[in-house]
Amino acid sequence: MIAGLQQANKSLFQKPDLLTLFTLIIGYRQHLRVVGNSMEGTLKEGDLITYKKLNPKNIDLKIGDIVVASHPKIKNKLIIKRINMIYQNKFDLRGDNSMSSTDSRELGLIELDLIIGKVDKIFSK
Amino acid sequence: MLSETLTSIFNKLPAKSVHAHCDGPCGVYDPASARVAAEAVLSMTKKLIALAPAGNDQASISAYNNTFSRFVAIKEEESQKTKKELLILWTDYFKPEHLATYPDLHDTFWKAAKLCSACKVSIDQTKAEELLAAVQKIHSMFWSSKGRSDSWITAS
Repeated sequence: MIAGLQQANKSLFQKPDLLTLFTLIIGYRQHLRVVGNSMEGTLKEGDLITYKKLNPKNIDLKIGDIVVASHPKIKNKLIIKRINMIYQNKFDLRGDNSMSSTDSRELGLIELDLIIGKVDKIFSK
Repeated sequence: MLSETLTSIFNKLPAKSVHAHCDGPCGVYDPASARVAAEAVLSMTKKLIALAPAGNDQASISAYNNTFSRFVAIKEEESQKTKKELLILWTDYFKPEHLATYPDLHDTFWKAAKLCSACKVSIDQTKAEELLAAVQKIHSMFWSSKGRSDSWITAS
């Protein structure tokens, strides 16, 4: 364990299974592949993550969740970070690897409407 | 069996990228790291060209093979490092507004990245020199975009 890195939430790590594959095929879940090392300690380059899109009627986000969000400054770019703090529906997102992460320290608080979904499964490469 | 198949499917599943941003939050960029790596590529290429077995006996051939393999591995690694450093500058530092000043910016980076690959594929001093020249051009673009004209100084 590298000092300063967040402890990975073990329950998110899964082995590939038919049910997940089925939920991806029918669109119940979305999937993305990780690029970069700002979430090192939990996610590494090439890992596959799945997430469920946020339900606007039931926003279930809490500190510690890993989320997929639209980059606030670059169109069509998705970022993956952990919720560090929540201030009135604005989110302080941080990379687990704080020494190598562009996050709310530079990008500012992220608006709720930029948050696309919450990561619910991680498939390590 | 099923588990292996599923793992294989998941590993190959086409997926969009989600970026765990890896550029430093301080926004510090410098083409020097690309320059050092490109210099190493040229250096290893020259060493490979000059390398020859000391004799025809088994010990000499083994020593030659060992050194040759090591040099190739370093050349490969430094070429990849050069490409990575250039891609960081291209995609993270340079912004669309730079295109007005440097209309050949994309072409320059694209060709430089291709040269990195070419330097891996073969032992070609001309390509390695072209790569270093491309890095020098990017060095000039970078520093002039910051309003500075830092001179080009190589380590070797």
